[in-house]
Amino acid sequence: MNATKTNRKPLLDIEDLSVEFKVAGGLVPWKRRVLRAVNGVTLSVHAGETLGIVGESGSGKSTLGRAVLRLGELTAGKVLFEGTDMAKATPSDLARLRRATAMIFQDPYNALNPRLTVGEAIGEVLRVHRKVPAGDVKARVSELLQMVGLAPELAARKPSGLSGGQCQRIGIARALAVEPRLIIADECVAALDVSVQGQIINLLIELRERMGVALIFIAHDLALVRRLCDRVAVMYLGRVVEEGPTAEVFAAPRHPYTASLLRAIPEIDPDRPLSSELLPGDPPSPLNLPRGCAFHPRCALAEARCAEDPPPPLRRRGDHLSACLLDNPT
Amino acid sequence: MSAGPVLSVRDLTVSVARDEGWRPIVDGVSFDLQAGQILGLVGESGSGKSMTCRALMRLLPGARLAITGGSIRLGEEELTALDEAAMRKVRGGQIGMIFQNPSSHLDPVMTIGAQIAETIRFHQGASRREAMRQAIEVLRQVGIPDPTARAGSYPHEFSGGMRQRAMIAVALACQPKVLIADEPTTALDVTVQAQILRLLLDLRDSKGLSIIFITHDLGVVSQTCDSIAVMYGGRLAELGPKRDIIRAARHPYTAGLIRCQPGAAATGTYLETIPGQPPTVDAMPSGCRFHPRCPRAGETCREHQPAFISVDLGHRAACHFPEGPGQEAAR
Repeated sequence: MNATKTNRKPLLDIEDLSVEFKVAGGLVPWKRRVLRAVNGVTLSVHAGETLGIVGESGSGKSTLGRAVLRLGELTAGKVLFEGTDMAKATPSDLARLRRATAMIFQDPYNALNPRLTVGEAIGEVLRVHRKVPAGDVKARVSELLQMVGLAPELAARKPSGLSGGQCQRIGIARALAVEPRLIIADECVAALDVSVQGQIINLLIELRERMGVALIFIAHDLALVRRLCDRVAVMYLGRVVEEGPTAEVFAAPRHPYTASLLRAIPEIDPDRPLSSELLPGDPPSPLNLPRGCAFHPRCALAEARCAEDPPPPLRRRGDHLSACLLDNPT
Repeated sequence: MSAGPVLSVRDLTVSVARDEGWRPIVDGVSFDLQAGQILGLVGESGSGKSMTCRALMRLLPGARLAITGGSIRLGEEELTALDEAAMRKVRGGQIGMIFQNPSSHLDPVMTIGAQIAETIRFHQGASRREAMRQAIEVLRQVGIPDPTARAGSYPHEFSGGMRQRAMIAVALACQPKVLIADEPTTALDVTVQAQILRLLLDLRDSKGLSIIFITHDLGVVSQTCDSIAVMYGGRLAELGPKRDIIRAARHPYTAGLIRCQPGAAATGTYLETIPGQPPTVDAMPSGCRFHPRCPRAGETCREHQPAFISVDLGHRAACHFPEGPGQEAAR
């Protein structure tokens, strides 16, 4: 899986991407305030690679995913998909992006139109993107259903009669109908039962191996990210604070935030008590970002300089980057 | 140790009215909760875990649901025999309950302090001033910084973790003996989840609180609970001390759940899974409800419901062919 490295150009190159929203002010409602959801993110994904993006709610991971596929607006930066900057995309560039990428959503029920049968929902994608001649749609729908482990007979059913796991498989079948080179999966198993989560993760592993599709897996479940992803980026309040090969980040995290996230994973081990080094407080509001390193108010190791602007840049050591001023913080 | 469990549930059956008659969705559930014990109630969606706890509070949502059998004893009192007025005194007074989503269980137009004080006034008849004093004290106990000022805040002014703390404060205002926690950390970030779990453990230690902790997360259970009860298809599949359940599960469903956790295995390797889907109320399999998904199922399993029998000290399982001890070594 790591074969696609170094010399080859990445499939996706995100450079210094920022996304801002204007929201109504607090005390002075007519004065709009700016919420920085994504703040200068730089990441790249090679063909066939799986990148995990983890972070707490409000860290900007979903906004980043939507901005990359141009499903949401972006404020600044570049999104180079196969060399074309999609931030300045012409309508024909966008059409090309839509034909080469797909998204899988968290809520499998609400992502499907309740009035369409499963066959119609998948067939719609095939028709819109003119993937197969009209006469072949039915056969291709059956093929796609089988690919995601469902019986072709399901094509006649409507989503209301299906389980969450089945609906998510249909969501994946719709994504695959595009024959994408990049799929972004946003918390795609968070709403599913534990015994069904594994089935969906296995399906993603299998599809990646069979089709070589690149995957951005956005999740808050670190254990699943460890199992699925080649590399992982950790986000905190709109910034990537650490990025590297999954095994390395999990074994030796460099940013104090990553270290506390890893400590907070509830492991299934009756002899391992709840960690006593708990991270205090809640993540601050992205409307009112702390100066300097955004993590410093909750960081046990913070020094005076951590509160000074500008925020610490990502520093590279080998293949592993982290944004902390301290030399050996963890 | 004082005598007897705080809460004793026997053969609890909750049914839903269908055209053809009552159909059980919680079917013959029995367990004891000891003083100061944390019992984890684990299961997938539709397993009946939340419904069991709503039945304990006699808060079944909808007229089509009813307790159709069994007993719930809280100390000396039989809760299934109480009228609604007496039950209102039990709720909040002797059993507190917290939920996954604090926002929908806190009154948005009432300050946090006033909500706690209202509970105290209802149950203890305290004066307004005394109730507010106690409310501030409870807020302090659940770790709200600057409780005197925050008592005057509305729920929307709190962050997610603080709101969950506020709901715990409302539930504990009248010092109940039992707290029912229904997925209290599912909607929280992991770092905040750890804080709330720590708070629940501390409250157990300082107040001798008994807790029923409903969750689907086996990791959370193994860090917080003393005992684990696993539900499947409305029935208890297995019940026992935490260590026995995690290290040497006897019911194939429990064992399967533990095996399908992502764990620390290498990146890109397939996860173990339990094939199929959990059953729904209107399509419950015959015999053992897990048999269509069970690798060990035989003819007996399809026809006969397994008894919930003792397999070890304090450890019971409902399986015709339970996994043996030493299963840990095989993994």
